[in-house]
Amino acid sequence: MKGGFYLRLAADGIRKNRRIYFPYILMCVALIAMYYIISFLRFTDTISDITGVGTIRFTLNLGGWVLAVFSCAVLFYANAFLTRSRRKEFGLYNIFGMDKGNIGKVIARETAIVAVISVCAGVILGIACSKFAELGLVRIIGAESNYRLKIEPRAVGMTAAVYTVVFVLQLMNTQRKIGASTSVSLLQSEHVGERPPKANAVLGISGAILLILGYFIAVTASFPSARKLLAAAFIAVLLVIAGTYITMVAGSVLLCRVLQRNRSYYYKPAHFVSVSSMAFRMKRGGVGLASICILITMVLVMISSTACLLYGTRFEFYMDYPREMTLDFVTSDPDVLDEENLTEFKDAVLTGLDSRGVAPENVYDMRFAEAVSSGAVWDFYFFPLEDHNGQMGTEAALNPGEALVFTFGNDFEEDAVRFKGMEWKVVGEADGFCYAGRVSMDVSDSTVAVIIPDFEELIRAIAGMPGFGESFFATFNWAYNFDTGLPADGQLELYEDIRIYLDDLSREYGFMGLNCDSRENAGGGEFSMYGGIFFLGIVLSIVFVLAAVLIIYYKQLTEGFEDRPRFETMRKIGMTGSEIRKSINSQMLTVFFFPLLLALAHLVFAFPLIQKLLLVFKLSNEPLFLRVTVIVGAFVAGLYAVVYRATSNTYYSLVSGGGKEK
Amino acid sequence: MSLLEVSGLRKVYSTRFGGNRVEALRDINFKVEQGEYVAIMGESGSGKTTLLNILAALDRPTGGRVILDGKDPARIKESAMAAYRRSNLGFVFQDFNLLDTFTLADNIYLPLVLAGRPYKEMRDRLAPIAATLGIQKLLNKYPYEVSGGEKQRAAVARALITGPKLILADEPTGALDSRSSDELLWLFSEVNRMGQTILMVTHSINAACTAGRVLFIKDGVVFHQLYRGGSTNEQFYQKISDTMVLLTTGRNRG
Repeated sequence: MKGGFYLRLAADGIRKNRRIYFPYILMCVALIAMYYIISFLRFTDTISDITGVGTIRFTLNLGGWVLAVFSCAVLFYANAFLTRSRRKEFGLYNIFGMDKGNIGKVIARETAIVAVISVCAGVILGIACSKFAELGLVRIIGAESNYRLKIEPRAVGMTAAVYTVVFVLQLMNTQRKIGASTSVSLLQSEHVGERPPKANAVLGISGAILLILGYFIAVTASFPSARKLLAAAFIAVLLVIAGTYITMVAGSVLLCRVLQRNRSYYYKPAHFVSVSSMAFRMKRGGVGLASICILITMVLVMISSTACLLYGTRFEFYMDYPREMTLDFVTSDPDVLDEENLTEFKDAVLTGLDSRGVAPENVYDMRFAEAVSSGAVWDFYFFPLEDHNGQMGTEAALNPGEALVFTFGNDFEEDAVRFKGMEWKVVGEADGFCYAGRVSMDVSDSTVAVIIPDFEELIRAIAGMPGFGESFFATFNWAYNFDTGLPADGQLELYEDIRIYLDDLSREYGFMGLNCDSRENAGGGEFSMYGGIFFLGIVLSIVFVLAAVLIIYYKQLTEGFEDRPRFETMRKIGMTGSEIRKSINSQMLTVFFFPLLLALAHLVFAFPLIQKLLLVFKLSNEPLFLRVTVIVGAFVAGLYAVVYRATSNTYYSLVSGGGKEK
Repeated sequence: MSLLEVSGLRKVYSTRFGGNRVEALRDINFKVEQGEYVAIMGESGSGKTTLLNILAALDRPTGGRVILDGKDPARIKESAMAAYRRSNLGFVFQDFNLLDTFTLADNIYLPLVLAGRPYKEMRDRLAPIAATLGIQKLLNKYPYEVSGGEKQRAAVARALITGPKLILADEPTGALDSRSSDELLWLFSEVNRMGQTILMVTHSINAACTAGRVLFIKDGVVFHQLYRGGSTNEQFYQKISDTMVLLTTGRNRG
């Protein structure tokens, strides 16, 4: 009977405060669903077959902990808001004869109700969305999946356990707060006179200095070693976070104060109300706004960098493995690569393909010689004209002793290619150059591709030179790359077969190097990891955006309540409705778009740093990064605007409140 | 011509679905001359606040007319209303209605800033008013830092600074202790002596007895009025008190 009474009071409390409770529960549900999804993916066996599953699971596990800690922080913030706005209600209970123990019981039941609702709804939502998440992850890392919906009991257990702990922590915190206050202080807490914000010049300026310092480090951090770069990045991030908080809290008040001191600016209808209430608003809401700013920055940086990591490496990877199969024959004996042998090798590979019912597609078939002599400015790669023509589909013709060149970095401005006393007259630049396989891996700025008509003569001449293999060196290569159109496991099988065949060849002919690479075989691990990181980046971003939305909503709600009597007074003193609305608009716009602008500024300054960090991963694809960053930035800004519009309606309805007093 | 003429004023409130009609003001008629200090008395629910809201042009009457300085505020367009209110009326409220984000000086400047006056003019206007009200030293403080009486004096300064034709005061002593009340009422008399017309709504006899004339409202009509004539505050207090007793017992008889 008595227990039922408390339960009813608790349910009533939630219903009556639904304007505050509803978003809180939604946030809980979203966080729990996200957590379930992450732990589901960790346990699911759909991904257990793909290469690098260990890394993905590790990444997801880590992400799960990050999410749990973050959930705790967000819910604490929301809960503090909830408790604060309900102190009057609790004070009333207290006056009606409930002691703090009774109130504690009501709160405990409220928390229990919220916990049960959110965990159930969260897990159900998580289960419903887990398939999409799984498909998304699988798509990102390039594995295969089926379309069966599955429930992972271990994930359900994990989720329930973690969030039970989170809710118990919340409850303890609330009890502590209520326990520490008297009934009168509970009742009056809303009417505490607010101190005017003091402008602290030292603090305000130091905030700006911290920001500038952080930006400076981010922009100038050099690249001597990955560790030093990471350390610099870490310091820059800390400086910028500290700078953001201090600037938002102290710097903005300082700015308002400076503006107020400028009388001809301050005493204008358009500025008077806005500037003075802005100082208060920033003092109250500076921390929340700084948090929003940091969250947005995190989302921007996280998505753009993880997307670059994934798509950038994939791009590089495809540069390295342009075809499914890459065969490289390397020898120092020109006879090994004569016409007859090449035909034999090729036939063997084709037979292997034929037995699987496919023919090579997109073939890259090219001989070349890499000639390195010590002290030379240029690295020459010689290519036979006939192979080049065959690959490019061109019909260029050259006389003996003439050459076409193609450069990869520095311009080759000499009139002739000279190598060991041999000379080819440069008659022009090749229109294009099709490079695949090993060549693409080894090109540098000083690499020159030399296309010559007398390739056979060249390699024999080189091999016959005195000192060959001792004072100078050259390799004769044949690259044979192709796509098969086989499924992944078929490719791996073929790859194994070819390797066995090449091992035999190697014993027979004494190749220096005889490699077969399969894109399928090389790809897995790295992509899985980056894919996992990217996926986690998206999930965490969603959570961060949700948290930012919640903070915005609560801010609008608080300020709406606080500002209502203020605008009522202004109306009585003789401010028109449109003047009030204009003033509200300008304040809200400044307050809410300031964090977004600052976040975008952070991103701009973080850009060079992230770029250098990506270099650690051997990524130097600036256009891709720029494009991703701009897209992500625009997307987040758009989303923010939508959220702002939606929540500011709450504010307007609170402030206008029908124009009634109290 | 009188500064303020109220004739046949009627205000009917309907409940939300039009079922219950409440007649807050039935037939109010009175005039206020330039330089007068008039108190309107009545019990809670007698229609005082409704009357004040209509005089302040915050609310529109159902019938009858209000003429302030030859103009009918009800005929002023909504867009011009705020400006009209700003330049013709000064308000003093029971709960001060000072903005806590402004210093007292800025609170006082607010109507002038909204009217777009230059800072120098505002400062020049404030100086004598602040001296009269004795708040020069408080001007840079925030409302939460000063006492209720000081807040109300700042609110009076805000009402005076536009040089309004009429000051409307709604229970100005309602939230003050007796000493602050007496100080404020004395200031009202001073301001009135300098020529400011004041209309005060109150149910405190102590406040009403400082006025030059008291109107009694009951059940939506002006029931009675008393002139101070030559009497002192104490004598006038007695007269008002007697009238109040009459009003109350009259209701019992009726």
